Amino acid sequence: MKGLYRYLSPFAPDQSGAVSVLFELGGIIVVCDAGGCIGNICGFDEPRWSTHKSALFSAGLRDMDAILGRDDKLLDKIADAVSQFDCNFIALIGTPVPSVIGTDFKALARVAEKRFRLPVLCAETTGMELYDKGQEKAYLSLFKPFASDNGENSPEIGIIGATPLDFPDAESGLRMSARLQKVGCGKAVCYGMESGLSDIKKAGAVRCNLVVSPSGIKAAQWLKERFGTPYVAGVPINSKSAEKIKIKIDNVLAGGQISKSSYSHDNGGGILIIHQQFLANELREQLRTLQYKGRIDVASFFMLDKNFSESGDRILREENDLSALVEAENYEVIAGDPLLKRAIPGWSGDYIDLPHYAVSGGIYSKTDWEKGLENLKSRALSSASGEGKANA
Amino acid sequence: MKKEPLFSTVKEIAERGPEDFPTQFVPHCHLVYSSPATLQYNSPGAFGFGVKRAGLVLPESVMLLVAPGCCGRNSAIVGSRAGYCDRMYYLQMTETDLVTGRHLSKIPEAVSEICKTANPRPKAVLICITCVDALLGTDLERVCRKAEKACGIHVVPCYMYAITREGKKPPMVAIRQTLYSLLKPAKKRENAVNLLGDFSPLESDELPILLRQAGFKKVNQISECKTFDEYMEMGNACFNIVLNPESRFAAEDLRKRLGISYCELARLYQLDKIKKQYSLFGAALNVKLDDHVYYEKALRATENLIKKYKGFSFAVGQALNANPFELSLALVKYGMKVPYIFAGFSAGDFTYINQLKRLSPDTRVYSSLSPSMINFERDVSGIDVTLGTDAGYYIPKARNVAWNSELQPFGFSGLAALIFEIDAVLSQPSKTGGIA
Repeated sequence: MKGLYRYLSPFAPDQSGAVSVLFELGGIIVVCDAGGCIGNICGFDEPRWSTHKSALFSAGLRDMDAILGRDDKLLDKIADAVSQFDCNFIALIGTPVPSVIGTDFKALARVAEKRFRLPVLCAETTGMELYDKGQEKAYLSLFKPFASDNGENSPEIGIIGATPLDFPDAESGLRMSARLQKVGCGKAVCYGMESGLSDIKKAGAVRCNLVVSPSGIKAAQWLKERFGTPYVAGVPINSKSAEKIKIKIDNVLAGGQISKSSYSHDNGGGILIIHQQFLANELREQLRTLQYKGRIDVASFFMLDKNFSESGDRILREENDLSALVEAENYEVIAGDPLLKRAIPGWSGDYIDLPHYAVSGGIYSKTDWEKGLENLKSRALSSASGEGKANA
Repeated sequence: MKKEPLFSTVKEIAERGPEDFPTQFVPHCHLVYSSPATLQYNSPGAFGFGVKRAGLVLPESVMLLVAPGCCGRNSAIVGSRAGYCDRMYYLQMTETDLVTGRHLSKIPEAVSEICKTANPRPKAVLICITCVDALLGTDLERVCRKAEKACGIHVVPCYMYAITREGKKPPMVAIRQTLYSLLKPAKKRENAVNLLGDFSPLESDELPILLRQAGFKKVNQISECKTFDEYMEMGNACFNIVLNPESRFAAEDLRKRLGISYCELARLYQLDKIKKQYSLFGAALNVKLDDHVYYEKALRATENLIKKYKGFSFAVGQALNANPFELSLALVKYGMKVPYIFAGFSAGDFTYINQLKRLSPDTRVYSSLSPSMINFERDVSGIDVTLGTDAGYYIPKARNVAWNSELQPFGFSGLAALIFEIDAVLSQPSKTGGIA
């Protein structure tokens, strides 16, 4: 039945994605909910919550607030919070309750800006979309008012699209920045991960943006239109991929176009990687460098940008889409979050656990991810050398 | 200027009285700060039992959550951890559903598919809806009747309305009523009694043994029912005992529907009050409860506590198996100091607050939910033990007794077990290497 989930439970929603972008930036983040949504965000989707202090609040909406549309009461509550500590900005995050009552976030933000003399952002999330959609909204809401090209000592590269929901842990941003710097890209900053609002303000002055997940594409396009900053897509998961990304960056800075590579592969078998698209694409590249000749497809329950897809790649909208795809394509290996395995109970190939925080939260660790990555590479290598078929 | 977290002393709270709470203790008057200490408030399913896990205490049941995806997010993680993910199903709402209400018409089909595919076939399906349906005015009972008729199975409405949290029937009260809603009028067994408390059993058999002394041969707890039929036998009981105030509504509902009367026993940590409560309870039942074995054990434990730790300082939170004000009062009576309490309170807590005013007027009470708590500096020293995970978060330098096990402490045994744990953490080498 369409819409019924028998094996999988809900993934990180848009409101969690929006918070993951804003979490470290020093603003007051007001999740316009009754309390349950913020509990899910903090408790299950935001690993930094227990290690970094952030002014993250629930609006504490009650039934009569919703029925009577008491926006003035919400503003009074924000005024009380603003009086108790210093902040850079206020962010309003939507949830299902404001979605039902039709809260006019833009109007609310304008009124709040006048009253508090602070920038007020809003991410009109609904709790009904997925985390990457919320990230996309949050990036745009951040860059549009704050980004300028007057950046003194601005970094060379801006990384957009990295949050703990997309990558193995909260330090992933730092590691990616360091790898880029090491291969000669210059100083890189990962927006929203170990960086602050001051970096967002200099975003118009960076030489090039690197988009590491599809949620960053719209923001990168906006920065390109507004400041002429080019962007490339990719994920520097190790020094080799960082070097390749440097070539792409140099090329695009020299005015070149990024051409799409085309690959031929053997028929039958193959590997399916299920993750956020750009990370999965990067893993696919890695496996190809290991001389794996079979087909490698990418599938995602999240955004799948056609411009970065290959012909066999699929977006999964429902739980049944995964079982149907697996049944139709006869993959010999699937790499994806361990919880997704539940949706394909009859499948008997090799399932390699590759945790995705937006799916399984904190159940698995970075070590599990690294182990999964190694297993995937070993499996591809053994297939490349012919052992895989024998094993299969 | 450095800003401080808001607090009130016990004396100030007592003097203002139950009609005039300081605003930091009234959650709907301010934004709710989301610190790790408030997780259980903001997401009751994070630890222990939230609505979804609590609903699944009904034996041989499954739950269908009909809601926006965000409402079921914690089940992905908690469900895997607590082992109930195989009993959860989701019908995710879209914005079109919100506008048209069409999600409701899908429920009978979803229940039917669950019945066909679930193995083993459930005896009951709980349909859980959330805040959005509260605002849409959904008549879930009607939808459940329709699904029940179509599928020939019990279909139970269940409400996870966070927006009614401070109303008359907040979610954790409503789910308790839901849990007992399938019980039917039945011939009463004079020797059967139900304990209406939490969602997991009592830690010790003290109360069941005392009840057997009083002639109750069958002591039922829903969490101990293995089958649906066993659960249905709870309808035969002649008496309900409410062990958690959140079960009052369920008890009253059972009184009205099934004619089962009830009384309430509180979880206490004051030795003399536990004794008195049993004595009054026995008198009401017209029997003398022989509790001396349990009493002696608790008495020895309190004597040990006083002897070894008199004058020690405690900070008490609210994320624990106790009323924080009653527990603080008990500790103060045993000769301990309680400089900090991290808890909200209700009018019913003034019995304890007024006594604390006499014994420890300067105790600071903080509301974990107040936005000002972001200014709380977690470097407080001079506290020996924190009780509750929230107090442990605020004062990390002290040793912590979480006291939040799922098995529920009660009576003399609960007091003795708590003191045992306090003694255990204080007997361990301290962080600096010495013995506390």
